[in-house]
Amino acid sequence: MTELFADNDYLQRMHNAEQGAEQYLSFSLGDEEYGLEILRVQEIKAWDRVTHIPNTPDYIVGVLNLHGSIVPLVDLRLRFGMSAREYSPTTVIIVLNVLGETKRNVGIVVDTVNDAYDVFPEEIRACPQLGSTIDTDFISGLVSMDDNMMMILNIDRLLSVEALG
Amino acid sequence: MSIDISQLHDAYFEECFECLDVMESEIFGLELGMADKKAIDTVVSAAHSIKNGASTFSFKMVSDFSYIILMMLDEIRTGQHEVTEALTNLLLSGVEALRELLISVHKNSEIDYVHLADIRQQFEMMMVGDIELELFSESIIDNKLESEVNDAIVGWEIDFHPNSHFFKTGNDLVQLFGELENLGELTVEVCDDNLPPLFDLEPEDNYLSWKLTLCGNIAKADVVEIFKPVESDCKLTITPLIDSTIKQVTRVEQMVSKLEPHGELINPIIDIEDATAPIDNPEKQVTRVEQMVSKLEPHGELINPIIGIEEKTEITSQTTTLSESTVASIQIETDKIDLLADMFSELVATQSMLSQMGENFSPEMLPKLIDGLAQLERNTNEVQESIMQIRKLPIIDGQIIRVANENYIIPLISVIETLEVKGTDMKYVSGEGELYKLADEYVPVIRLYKVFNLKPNITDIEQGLVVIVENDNQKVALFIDDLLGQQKAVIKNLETNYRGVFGVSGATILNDGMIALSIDVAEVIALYRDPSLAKMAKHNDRAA
Repeated sequence: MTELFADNDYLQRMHNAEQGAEQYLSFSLGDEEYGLEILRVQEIKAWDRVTHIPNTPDYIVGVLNLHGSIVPLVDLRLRFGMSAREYSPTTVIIVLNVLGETKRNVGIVVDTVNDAYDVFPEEIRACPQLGSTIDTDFISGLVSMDDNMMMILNIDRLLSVEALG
Repeated sequence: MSIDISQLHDAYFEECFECLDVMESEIFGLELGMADKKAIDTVVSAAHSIKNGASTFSFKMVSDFSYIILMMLDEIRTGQHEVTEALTNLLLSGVEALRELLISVHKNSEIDYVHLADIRQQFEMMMVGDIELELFSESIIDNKLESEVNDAIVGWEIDFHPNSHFFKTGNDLVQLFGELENLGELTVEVCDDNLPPLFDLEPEDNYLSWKLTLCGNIAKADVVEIFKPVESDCKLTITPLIDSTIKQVTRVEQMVSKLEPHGELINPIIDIEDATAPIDNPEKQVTRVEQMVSKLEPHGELINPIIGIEEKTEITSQTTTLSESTVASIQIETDKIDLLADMFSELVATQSMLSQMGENFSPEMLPKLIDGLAQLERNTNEVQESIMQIRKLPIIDGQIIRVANENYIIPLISVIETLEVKGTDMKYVSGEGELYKLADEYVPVIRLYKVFNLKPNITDIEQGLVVIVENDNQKVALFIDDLLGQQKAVIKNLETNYRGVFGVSGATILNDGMIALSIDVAEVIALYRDPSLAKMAKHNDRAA
């Protein structure tokens, strides 16, 4: 796999794309690495003040003003039952296009954004029942990396109106 | 070195007048019946030289007007018209009007637009094909506007820097200024920045310069003329003084006049509203549009580039019975109005095209007519949609409040008053909570941080404020930390990207870019009575 990840190797990427590879954006929550389809990413931005929404689950951090539209923000650590982490200017917000009945914008708060990877569909393995705190419904597959594993999120399920509570 | 094209103007006008003479004599010589092709060709080529020259020198009016004559001639040449007395008279009056126009352009004097439009209309009536003439009517308007901009010049600002030897050559400044004063109101401001210390001063040299403001309807040439004798002894810059009011109004007038070429501005809009679409209250819509249009019209008052449009905000059930409606003024950027104006002008153009088609209807025009009608419908829908977009924005006058580090906005319409509270005015009822004695009644106190489950900064009622709000004839006191400013707010719903939240009617972006949630007083009261409502996800039915 490594040779596919040669950094910024534009030609290699072009080639991969022709071969059917899709790009995924990977990010970290603690030691875990997650990925999501890069085409769903609307914007990546630094932490900014948000407005709290009353009487919502704790992982709904609030709403933020994204070029005039009101976008809810989900703390994925809290959503996945991990310990909270203080927000700082280095905290990263990824604003996503979520498809459901309508197209919505939802922001997620993550620890760090890592890289964009080319992934071929055949490299994605089905997700075993993990028995973890994370509902495997939200994971659409696993991609193994050198010494790690990237969990590919199904953001349409994870961030659906119903799932956000 | 660049060529000053205006030097060629005189030659051009001379040629034009020759051409006009040729045209006139040829038209005079036309015999009734089928047109003499050769004579028509001569007239056409003369008209062509006028038009081509006009395009070269960008005399748009001239080229457009000769174009009209050319179109007519073309129809005669292709045998669509027989030469009649009426036709020759029309052509002659066309040539005459063109001559007058050329004279006006040459002498830079006032153009008689009314007369030109009249002649143009006569041509239009005579002609078979007529659609392309729309272009022409617009150019008349545009040209008119240009001349209005010229009208906006209310005077001249003259930077006058005489050389150091100015006075040695016997120039008389007093006489010079006196002559300027004869032209209009003169203000003289002397600039002595370059004046050296007394001992360095050369008594016969000039160190001064002047800034002159000459107000009045004065031709630049007249000003230049006065300075001619001293031309070689000074540096001179003459810039026009533009009446800023007129400048800005012109833009608006342009929009309005674009809307108005057919004299009936409001009617087509009303037709739209009647003809299409499920509007809950058409009458109201029409008044809205009329309001907007009438706002566009007063020419003198539109100095601010943002045009205020009165918006009657609709009051929904959660607000008080006290006032049925409130008038909030929202600000709409001029480009939105421009867009609307453009749409209207397109609509009017299409409509007039159709009515022209209807007058000389023939079966082969049917496809065109159908296209035109479809176009009309599309235009109509566009206009309607964009009006609805403006209409739909729920605007409130809001009071911004602070509760536990968060800002909220309360619709001013539900606010009665805001008070500081003394502990002695409070009454505590077990199980019922707190009551505040307001005049002769007790109103329940709702601590907003409690219903919204926020971590409070202030819990002592004497340190905060209460906002008395009313809903459905019932008063309650909302306990808050502080009052911030008031502002008009466009309420956006949370459902677009999230879901409805109980107690909150939507969100607005404050002047500093932060979001404030707007408080739904009725729902807050409901939440206070039954906190379990908070768990209920609000459904989309209330969303616009």
